[in-house]
Amino acid sequence: MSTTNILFSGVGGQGIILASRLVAKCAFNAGIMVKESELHGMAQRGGSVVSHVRYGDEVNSPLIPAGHADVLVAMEELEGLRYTHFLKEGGKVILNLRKIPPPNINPSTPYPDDAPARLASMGFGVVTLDAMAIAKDCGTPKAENIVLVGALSNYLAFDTPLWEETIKESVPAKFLDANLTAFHKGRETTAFK
Amino acid sequence: MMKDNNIKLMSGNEAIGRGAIEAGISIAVSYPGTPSTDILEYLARNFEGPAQWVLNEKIALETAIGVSYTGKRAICSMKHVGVNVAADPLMTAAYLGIKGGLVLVVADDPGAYSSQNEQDTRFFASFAKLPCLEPSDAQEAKDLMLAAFELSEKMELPVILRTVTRVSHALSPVSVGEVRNQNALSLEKNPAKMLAVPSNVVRCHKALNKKQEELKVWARTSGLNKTAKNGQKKCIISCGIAFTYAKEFGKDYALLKIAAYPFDEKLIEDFVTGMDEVWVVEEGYPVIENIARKFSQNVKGKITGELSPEGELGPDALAKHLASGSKQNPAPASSDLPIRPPVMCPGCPHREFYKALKEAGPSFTAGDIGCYTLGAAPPLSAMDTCLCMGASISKAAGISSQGVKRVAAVLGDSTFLHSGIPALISAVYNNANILVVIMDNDSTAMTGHQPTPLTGITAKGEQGGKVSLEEICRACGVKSVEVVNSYEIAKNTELLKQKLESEGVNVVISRSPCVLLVGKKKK
Repeated sequence: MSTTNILFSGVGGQGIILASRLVAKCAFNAGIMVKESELHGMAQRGGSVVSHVRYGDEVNSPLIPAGHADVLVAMEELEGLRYTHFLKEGGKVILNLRKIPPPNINPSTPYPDDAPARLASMGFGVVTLDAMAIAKDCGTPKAENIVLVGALSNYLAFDTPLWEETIKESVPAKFLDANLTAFHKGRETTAFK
Repeated sequence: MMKDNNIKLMSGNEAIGRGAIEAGISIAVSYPGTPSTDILEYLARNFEGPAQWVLNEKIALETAIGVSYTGKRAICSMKHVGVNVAADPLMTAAYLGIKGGLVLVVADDPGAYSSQNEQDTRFFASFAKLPCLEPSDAQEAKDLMLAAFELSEKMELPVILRTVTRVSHALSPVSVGEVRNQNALSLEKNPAKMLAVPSNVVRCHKALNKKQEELKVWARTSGLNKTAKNGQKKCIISCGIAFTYAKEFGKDYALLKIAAYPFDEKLIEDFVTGMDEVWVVEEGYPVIENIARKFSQNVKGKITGELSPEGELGPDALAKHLASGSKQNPAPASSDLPIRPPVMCPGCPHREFYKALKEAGPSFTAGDIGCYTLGAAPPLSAMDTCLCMGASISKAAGISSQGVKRVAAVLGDSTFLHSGIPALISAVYNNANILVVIMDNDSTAMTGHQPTPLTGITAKGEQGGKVSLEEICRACGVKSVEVVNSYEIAKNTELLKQKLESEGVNVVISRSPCVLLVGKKKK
């Protein structure tokens, strides 16, 4: 199989590492070669962060080269726009409808309020969802990242039991039910236009 | 890849820790520093023997050397700039040699994602005349740890394992193996190999020089430096993480992968001879490129300018040069987007204390390395210089020595213990007139909340000895030591104004736990 490349972007502290590791573990549990690359540590807190997941028959670089990402999972609107150069032509974007304006924003570069339209105008397939609202409905706002993984799962070739098993080994037992619900709610989101 | 219970998905740092366990270590010792921190954290969780945070990298390496003298194996891990602190024991341990296997793992940070420079540890290895092994992924990191311990005992030398952020913080499958028995305790006195006194130095240096040829033979026979050549006229020499980029985009090129240093330069000469195009692709400084240029006029790399000599190399530069036909998204990233640098967390005690410090108005504030360095950014702009661990007090004392009044130094609790204490004593001794602020948030927060001796909790979560910041400062000869709550802005402003005007060294300890720790405790 050719390499599948998934880029996660967001704001440090949003749970991006757990989300990207979950996808990497799912591929690993499916017996597929996988690499996941992240930046962690408090040094990234509140900053712009990305995680890379690559799986397939042969994976070399742990980083996705520019223009090669199949899917961008953006946990925040501005951070979705920031990393479009990673996407291949016609790539897909799962965009969390969440705006976290950086503090002390420079007036010459205002916070963009048109992320979904901009992404679509660049020729990407865009699906939007309010993962935070869905996560709150499931009982914990912290499952925002899992809702997005659920939405992503529609476009990856892993079956539901494998996802469930992987979630089970990745989240604390007391939050398992909320996370499983969050995953399924995310999975029910509409397909790419 | 087949599913196998002995294969685990691990980060490079976890694989390094696992490799150390399989090699039969008897201790792991470290000072936190991204991207190396989680090596010791993994060992604190998974290794049954001692896994210790110590106060700085010099102490870490010296502790490991002590363990080596007992015949046992030790891993010492640190970030690249930590080697500057540990350079003193490192350079001379190479002369004396060691006994039980000693592997110094150093995590470089190309691109300086969380560091003050991009220095390349391979230069330190060659400066110290020590062998260096360099993995390109987690599996190799584990395998090379085992090789490093064998080599260390065979050559009686510390061995450096150089990793980088993208190896340390990348997950990939790792095959887990058997754990070797630990070495027996055998502490013997051997002055000829344990005393770095003038009468021994030249002889020890000669012995070290003699080992260089043996190291090159080892590098050759180990098979770690691999050539894949099939009649091509163009080639790539690479090492470490850069090898994964070369493999991805250099499919039509002959490949030479370097994983063991020092190597016989004939390896490079033989490989590049007759080649029309020689790419040297390495993350860090152009170490191999300098060698390749001796043997070929056709070298392309960082010195010749095709690749950037600064910043992280990453896969894109190679994609551009080697695979021009590869598909690239024509749409560049938007350039009109607001930037998002890391910031202090909501409710961070440092931020509140800085408001008071700004109001008190020091003439110049010498800062240090930690979360509080984020206070240098607007709108606080509360720090005027930041250089290296522990430099704040010494720099402030230097400025004050030239008659500048109202000078402040700001550093964190862990940084103070790391290398601030001798600077504080020096400032007292030389009658400096400075305000020293110690931001005590109850942990080494920047690297992920490692405990310190001020908490008395060890890396393994056990009760250890506990020390007091106030008592240390007083014992250093500081007459005025005040402890304040970081959040009391008005009160702190008044105190800081007064202390900035006072003669001598005045210490103010801003004490409030990291807001993230408070959150964790509530759960």
